[in-house]
Amino acid sequence: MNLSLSILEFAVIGAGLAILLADLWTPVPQKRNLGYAAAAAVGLIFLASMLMQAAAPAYAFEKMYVLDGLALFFKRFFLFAAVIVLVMSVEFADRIEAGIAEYYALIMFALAGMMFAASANDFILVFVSLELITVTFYVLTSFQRGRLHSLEAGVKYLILGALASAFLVYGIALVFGVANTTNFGELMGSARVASARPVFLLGLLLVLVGLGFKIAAFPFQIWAPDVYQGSPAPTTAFLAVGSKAAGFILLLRVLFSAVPEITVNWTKLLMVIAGMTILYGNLCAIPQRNLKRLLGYSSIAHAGYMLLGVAAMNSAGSSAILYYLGAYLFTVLAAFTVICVVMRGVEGDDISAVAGLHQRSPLLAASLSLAMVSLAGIPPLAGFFGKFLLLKAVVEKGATQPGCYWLIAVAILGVVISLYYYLGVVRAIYWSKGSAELSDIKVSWPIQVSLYACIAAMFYLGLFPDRLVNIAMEAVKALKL
Amino acid sequence: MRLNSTTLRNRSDWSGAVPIRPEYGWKIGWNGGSRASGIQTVTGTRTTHMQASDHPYLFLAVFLVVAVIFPLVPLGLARLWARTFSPPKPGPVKNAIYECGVESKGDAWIQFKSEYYLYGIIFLIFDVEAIFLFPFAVAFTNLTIGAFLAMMMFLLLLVEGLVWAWQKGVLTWK
Amino acid sequence: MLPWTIYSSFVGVVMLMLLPREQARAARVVALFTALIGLVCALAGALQVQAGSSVAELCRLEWIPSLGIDYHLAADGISLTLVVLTGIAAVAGILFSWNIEHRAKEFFAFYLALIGGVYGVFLSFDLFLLFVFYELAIIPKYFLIAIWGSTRKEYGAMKLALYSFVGSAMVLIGLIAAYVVAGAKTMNLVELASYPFPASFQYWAFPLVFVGFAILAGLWPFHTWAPTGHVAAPTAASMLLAGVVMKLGAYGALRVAMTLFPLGLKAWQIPFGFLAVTGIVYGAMVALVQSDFKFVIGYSSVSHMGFVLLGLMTINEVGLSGAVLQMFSHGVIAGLLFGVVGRMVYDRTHTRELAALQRMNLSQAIPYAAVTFLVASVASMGLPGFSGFVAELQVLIGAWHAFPTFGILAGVGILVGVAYMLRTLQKSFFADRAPGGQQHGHSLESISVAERVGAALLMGTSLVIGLYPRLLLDLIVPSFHSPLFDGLRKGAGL
Repeated sequence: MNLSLSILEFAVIGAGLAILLADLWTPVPQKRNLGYAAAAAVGLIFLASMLMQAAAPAYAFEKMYVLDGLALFFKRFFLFAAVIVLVMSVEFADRIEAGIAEYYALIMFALAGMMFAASANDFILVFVSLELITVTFYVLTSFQRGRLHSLEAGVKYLILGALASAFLVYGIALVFGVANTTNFGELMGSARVASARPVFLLGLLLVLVGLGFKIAAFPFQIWAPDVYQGSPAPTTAFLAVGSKAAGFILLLRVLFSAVPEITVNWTKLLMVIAGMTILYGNLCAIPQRNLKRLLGYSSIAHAGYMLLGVAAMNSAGSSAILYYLGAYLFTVLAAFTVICVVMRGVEGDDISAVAGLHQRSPLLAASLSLAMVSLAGIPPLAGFFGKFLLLKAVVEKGATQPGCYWLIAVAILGVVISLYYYLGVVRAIYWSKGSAELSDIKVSWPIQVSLYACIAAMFYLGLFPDRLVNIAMEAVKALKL
Repeated sequence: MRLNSTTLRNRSDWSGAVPIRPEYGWKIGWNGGSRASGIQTVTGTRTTHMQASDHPYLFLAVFLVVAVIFPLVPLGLARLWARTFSPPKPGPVKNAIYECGVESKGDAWIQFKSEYYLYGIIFLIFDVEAIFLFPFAVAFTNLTIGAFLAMMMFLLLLVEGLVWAWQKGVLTWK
Repeated sequence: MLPWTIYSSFVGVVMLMLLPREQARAARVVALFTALIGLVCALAGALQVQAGSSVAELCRLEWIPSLGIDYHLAADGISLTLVVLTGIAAVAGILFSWNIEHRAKEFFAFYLALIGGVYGVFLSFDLFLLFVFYELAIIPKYFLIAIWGSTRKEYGAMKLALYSFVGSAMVLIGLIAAYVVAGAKTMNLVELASYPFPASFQYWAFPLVFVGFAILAGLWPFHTWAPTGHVAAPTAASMLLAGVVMKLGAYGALRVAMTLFPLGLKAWQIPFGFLAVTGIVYGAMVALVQSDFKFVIGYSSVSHMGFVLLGLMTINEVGLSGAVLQMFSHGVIAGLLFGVVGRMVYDRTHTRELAALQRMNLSQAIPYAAVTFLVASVASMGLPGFSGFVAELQVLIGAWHAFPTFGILAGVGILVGVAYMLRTLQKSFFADRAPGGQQHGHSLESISVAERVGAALLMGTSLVIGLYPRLLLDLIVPSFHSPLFDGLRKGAGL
């Protein structure tokens, strides 16, 4: 038992508990600032994670928990996302009626769940970490309990999330029933024998269903728009970035580290899912007027793009997913930070609320437009290079799997459609008639810092992608590709 | 007649390996539950040339058919009986909620204090704690220091929960 | 020197963004200054770089080593020609938009960003870099039209953005496929051009990349963005669109699609040649019946770009150099035409309906505009003495060698071109004075100095090249002998 490997997770949990306790003796006006303390603590843990290294995979908890390059990459990813989300929630604090400190603490507990998920090497840990994430999010989504939309989001997420968990756990049970183990390492040894048994395949398929729900892949995407729309903005941001990335790391681990030999036979299935997800997300996003809902659909589409990397089944594809997630992190966080600031007192989050934003606050306008342009995948921003890598991986796969060319055509179609609605948002910012509100928006300095950081990162990743590409390629060596 | 799992598992080739022939359904029939033929069908092991009646799931299909027919026949009969002998004649008395007792008053959707709920949750937590503590106490003398620390950590988390709830005023009945 | 065309433009963008919001005048001056620096750099570079039959290296740095992508700038005669064209068009465009007051700072910032991207495309010899610059131009184009445009501007802007995006997506796939198939971990144009791609691959990769680029060059039937986009755009933007941005497409088609996939080119020569000729004739016919002044010019652009594409499809030296020369020539002339229509006429009369202009007696109200338009339309018709003549003649000769039928059809296109230009000229400026017509003579403000200088610059350029085409041909022709075109020579019999 090597507890010191999961020191980061324990630190996050400890900090979360400390915030909960500190709340009890903090005077009410100061409670809001606990968020800064939380962000600072997570930031410190993030810096500490930079000192950690994982040259060779190290195991803990009877090999249930693995710390390798891939895990470390995702832990840093989640930590960074949480810092920005916490800063965002301080901004959001006055819109939450009760228990803001609990909100911070829950974000940190969800973070701990994601970090455990990054290290999962056993179906049991997969399930436990996923439940830790999901259960926390049930609360986080419905935190604005005075708003009907928020409650609706919470209930929808609860019901569909529980359903997905049921699928997952049933799948795990079937897998265990055949293979007599839940450990990924051991599964890989027995997968070939077990794969002759349809029950085993059915179990894996059900696991995929559960994970597909997390990443909002077609046809398990139904919950995403409603939940994205109804939840408080910081929750939505964390859902879009953290929860989705957690789904992807688990997907990668299950597919390419537990049962790589079976995954190879599933290329077509994954290709179809990827294509459908891209099309569904992009087509449904076109008529949306609610900004958060639009981003909800667009997040479905982006899950589809990332599934391209899974369907490519090569290390180029998986490292492209990592890169894409990195780019997506900054882009989406920038977008939601702006939404969080601008949508104060706006019911419905309608796109018209950003009208004339370039006069009210050039920084917010620039951030949101850059985020949209990056999501659409136009150079020199980060999103473009991510798409480039993903497409490259699929083209490489095309040599052996001609169907890939159809998939590429679908992906391109999706990208072109997406430009339409992303530019719609940009249009609303820079020129739309009759923007009612034209007062300047005050942007607090922590928000400014995080926005500048996101913008800088978008440009840095777009202009100098080499570093992150290398890191990603290094990280996916942990997978059996 | 038992359809034991070892039979199934040994015959890993059952899926799709048996050609489905049209005479399938006819050959089996249901010959009075003849034990001999039944057992032969299920555990019929590895005859080199497979009989159609060999398929282990055929009996399931037969059961299904019987299971559907069996309840449907009496139901249909009952319906016929009812139509002839007791035609429906609704009236105010017949439509009353209760045959006897007191009529209920007011709405069923009433509010009751959410403190009940909070109490319930906290009680449940400590109930579960007790379940964990009991085996811990029994095995206490043989435990390692690590297990002891883990248990203490568990207790500490619960205590923090209690402190939090207390400070939040959950335990005060208003 | 040449890379500074790119850098100075982006420096100009940054400077403009730092200006206070109200300073329209300062913004104009900064923009003009930047564009002039760009033009000077371009001209100095063209003189300095004796490209000859080789590719002049400008700058090569490792950019993304893990994928073998470099920051690689270089130039040959073709790029030099187009860089100079960009410099001229940029300066003229700013002079023609001297009256912009509404959000001037942002206007010029987007304008310079577009220019910077265009310079970048012409100078990139790394395909990834080229693509990045190529896409960089999409967003500024969109903004320029959608904010400062006129008639159905949002429709026109979105259509243009989506068309260019579709095109560039096709290009991207083709480039990635070439990268993967070559397997050499390089995006270098010269190295990829020397790689013998399998014929079966070229047969589908060539049309993909070619059409991807040619969408922006107004290849029929993908030209429909061009008229709406040009009409919706503000003057300077439509000058740039017709003058430079359409050349991006043609340049990409030549530089990337044709150099990389000569076998594919050979196989697709006739179909694309047919599309080019159709574009010539169709554009001219449609221009003949337009009632909106700017639509006439917009469709004439489609027709003239058809000559560029036809020249490319001839795959012989005369035709190709004619195509490049036509890019330059059309860039200058179309810029001039759009300048007259958008700035000199529309900004003063607030109408572009030929029927309305007919009654305004414009040749007396704004004589300078009338003269300019006369010169421009004569140049556009392809009369000797102007650049259009040399270029179109070369293309026709090339086409005659390659496919005589198409050559004849293109000749018909020229005739129709004369017809629509004459019709427009007559209706817009030189109509008989209608009885009881409005007397606009005194109410129209006179042509400003900036406009005069801009128009003179463009007219002069067209005239100089028309009289002494060797200035450019000496740059263009030798570059077809560079090793870059070896594949084209071997594979497609250049």
